[in-house]
Amino acid sequence: MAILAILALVLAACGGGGTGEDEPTTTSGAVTETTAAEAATTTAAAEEPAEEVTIEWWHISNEGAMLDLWQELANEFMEANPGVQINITVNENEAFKTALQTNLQAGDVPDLFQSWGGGGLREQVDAGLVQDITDASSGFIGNLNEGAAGLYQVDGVQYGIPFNLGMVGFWYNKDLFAQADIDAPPATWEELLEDVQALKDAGITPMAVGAGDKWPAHFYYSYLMIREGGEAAMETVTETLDFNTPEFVEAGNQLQRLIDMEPFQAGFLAAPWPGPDGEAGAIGTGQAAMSLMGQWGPGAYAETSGIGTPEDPIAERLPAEFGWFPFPLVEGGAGAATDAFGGGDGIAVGKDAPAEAVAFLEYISAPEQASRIAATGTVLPVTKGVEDSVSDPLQQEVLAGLGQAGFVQLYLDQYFTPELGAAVNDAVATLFAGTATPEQVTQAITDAAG
Amino acid sequence: MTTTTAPTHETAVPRGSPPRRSGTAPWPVVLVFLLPALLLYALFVIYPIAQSIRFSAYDWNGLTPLTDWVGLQNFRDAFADPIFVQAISHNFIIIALSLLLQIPFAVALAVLLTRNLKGRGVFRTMYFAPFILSEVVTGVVWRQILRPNGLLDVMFGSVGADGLTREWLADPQIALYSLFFVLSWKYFGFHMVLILAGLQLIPTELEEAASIDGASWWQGFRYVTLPLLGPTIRVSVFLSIIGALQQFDLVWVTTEGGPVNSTATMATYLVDSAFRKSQFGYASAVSVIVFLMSLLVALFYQRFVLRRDLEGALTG
Repeated sequence: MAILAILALVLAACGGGGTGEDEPTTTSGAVTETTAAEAATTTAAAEEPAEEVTIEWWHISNEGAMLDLWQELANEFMEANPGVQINITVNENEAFKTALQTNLQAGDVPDLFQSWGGGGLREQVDAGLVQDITDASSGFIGNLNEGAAGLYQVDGVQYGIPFNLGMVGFWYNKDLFAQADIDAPPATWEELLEDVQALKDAGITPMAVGAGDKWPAHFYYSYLMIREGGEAAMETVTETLDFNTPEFVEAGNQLQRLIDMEPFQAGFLAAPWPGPDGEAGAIGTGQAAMSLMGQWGPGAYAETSGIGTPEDPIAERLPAEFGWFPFPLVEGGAGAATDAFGGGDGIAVGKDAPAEAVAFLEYISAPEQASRIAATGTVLPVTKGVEDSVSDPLQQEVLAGLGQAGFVQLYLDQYFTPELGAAVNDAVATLFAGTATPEQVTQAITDAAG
Repeated sequence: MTTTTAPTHETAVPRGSPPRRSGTAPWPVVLVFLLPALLLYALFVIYPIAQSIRFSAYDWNGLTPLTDWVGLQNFRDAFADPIFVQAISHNFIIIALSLLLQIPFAVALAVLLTRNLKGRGVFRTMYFAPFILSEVVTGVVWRQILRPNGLLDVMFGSVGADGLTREWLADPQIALYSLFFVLSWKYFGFHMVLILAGLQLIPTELEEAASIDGASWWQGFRYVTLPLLGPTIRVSVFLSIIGALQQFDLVWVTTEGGPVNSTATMATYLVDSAFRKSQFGYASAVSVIVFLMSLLVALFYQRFVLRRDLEGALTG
C-alpha cells in the first residue's frame, strides 16, 4: 500500500511531464501519463511476496528524450522482475560530479552511476568503491564494442559498461555558412581559419564555446594536440606526464591564432555549455555558426531553440539545417585527419550493488533496448549490430567518422586523474582569456602533474 | 556637544573574586542543561574543525586511505599558488569596497528614512526586500540581467546608450566589480535596517539640544548622531567583514569564481579544489587558512574595536 501511495504521488507530481530542470530530482515511478498502466501492473506485481531489492541509479540525462527513456526502461525492468525497485536520481552534469564526490567519500556509493571511465574510474577502483563485474557481465560484454567496453576496465577488470560512444567534431549551421559563401566544410586548419574570417566578414559569429565550463574549451586544445602530435605523442605524454613538448606548444600556438581572430560569441569566457546563455543556446538560436562538441550537441541545441516540441525529430527543432565535419587536418602535424577525440557515457557499478544491477545493465545493452536508445538521436549505441538503428542523419555522420578512426583519444579531463584533468581545463581557459602563453599552458599542466 | 560616558563594569565591579549572584544554579544543574548543546557543538563544530586540521597534513584525494603525510606542504603550496593569493585579494577588495561604499550608503539611506518622509515604510520595505531573497535566487536573477544581451544591456540599448554595454560578468577586468554591485544590492538593506534601529535608540532631545545651540544639520549629524551611532556601525562593519571573508554562495551561483578565477574568493577556491580537483587534503589546508584568518580578524576586531561597546560605552 505504501508503494501505491508513493506511486500515486509521483504520478501526480510528474503529470506535467516537466523536463530539463537543473535541480536533482528523484522519481521512483513513471514519468508520463502513458506509462501509468504499466506502473499499475508493476505495483500489483510488487505486492506478491518476492525478495525486495532496491537499486539506486544516478544518471545525468536531465533533459530531452533520454530522461524519459531511462525511466521507461527502468519501469519495464521492474515489471519483469517483481521485487526490484529502481530509484533514479537525475543530476545536471556539473552538479552530478559534486554530488557523487560527496557520496563516494561517505562510502554511500550509488549502485549504478554515470561514469566516463579513465582516470576518475581508476581512483574509484583504488578506493574500492566500485564492483568487479568481470564475471557477472561476461555473458553480454562480448556483444559490446571492445574499445568502448575497455574504457570501463582498469587493469583488465570490468567495473561498468558503456552505452554511448561518440566523438567530438564541428556541428555547423548550413544557412550561416551559405550566407558567408562557404560551399564546403573546411578540411584543413588553414581552411577553417579562412572560413572563420569569411563568417566574420559576413557579420556572423563564427563559433560558440562554453569556456566558463572549461571542458568545451579543452576540446579545441586537445584536438590540436592530437593533430600536432598524433597517437605517438599522446602515448608518450601518458607515460611521462611532460606536456612541455614542441608539438603541444605548437598546438597552443595554433589555438592562439584562432583565439586572436575573436571568433567566439559575446561573453564566451563566462558562458556555460548548456542553457540559453550557454554554448548550446548560442547555436540553438542561430546566433553562432559552429560548435565543437560531441554527439550530444544537436539534442542540446534543440532544447534551447524553442522550435517544436520534444517529441519532434531533432533536425526539425534546429533553427536551420545542420551538418557535421571532423576536426580539420593540421598540415605538418603527425596526426591523421581521421584520428578521433571523444569518449562515451557508461554506467559504473557501485561496491554494494545487488546482482540485479548488472542484470539491468544487461537488459539495457540488449540490441532491442540499445536501438531504442539510439533512436533518441542523442546517443550512439555500442551494442554490435544496432548501428543501423541510428536514423538521425547527423548522428550517422559521427558514426561514420568514428568508424574511420584508427585512433580514439578519450577526453583528456576524464583520461587523466581529476586533479590533472582539471589542470588541463584551467590552463586552456587561461589561453582563451588571453592571460597565458602557449608555453605557460604546457608548463602549468606539467606542474600540476608533478 | 555632550558626550555621555557610562561607568564601565571595570569601575563598577571590583576586580578579583566577583560576588556570586544570588539565583545562580549549582554546577550540576548547569551541566545538565549545557550538555546537550555542548555535545552538538562538539560534534558539528569542534570535530569537523579538528578533522580539517588533520586532513590538511595529507596529500589526499578524498577516496583512498589517509596515508600520504606531507606536513605543512599543503599550506606552502596554497600560499605559493597565485590563484589562491588572488582569491584572498578579492576577499579584501570586497571588504574595502563594502566599507567605503556599501555601509556609508546604508547610513545615508537610514538617516534619510528616519525623517518624516511620505511613504517611508514602503521605501524601508523595498530596500530591505533583496536581503530576504535567497542567495541562489539573487545569483540566478542577476546572471540573467548581466549576461550579454541581458536586461541591462537591452535597457542601455533602448535608451541609445549602447556604448555603456559591457560583458559584465564575462570580462575578467570588471567581473569582480559587477559581482560587488550584486553583493551590495543584496546586503545594503540589511545594514540599513541595523542602522535604522540604531538611530531609533538615539534620544531626540540630544539632536534637539544641538539644534537649539545653533548647530547646522550637518553639525548635528557629524557631532551628535554619528558618534551615538558608533556601536551600531561597528557591528555593521564587523558583520560585513566576516560576511565578505566567507563569501561563497552568491559568487558560486553567479560566476563560479570565473572567468579564469577573476571573481574567485577563498571559499570558491576551496570548493573548487575539493570537488572539481579532488584535492581534499589541500582543500582542508585552505579551509584551515580561511578559518584562522576569520578567527584572527574576529578576535582582533572584538579586542580593539568592539571592546568599548561591549563594556557599555555609549560613544566612540
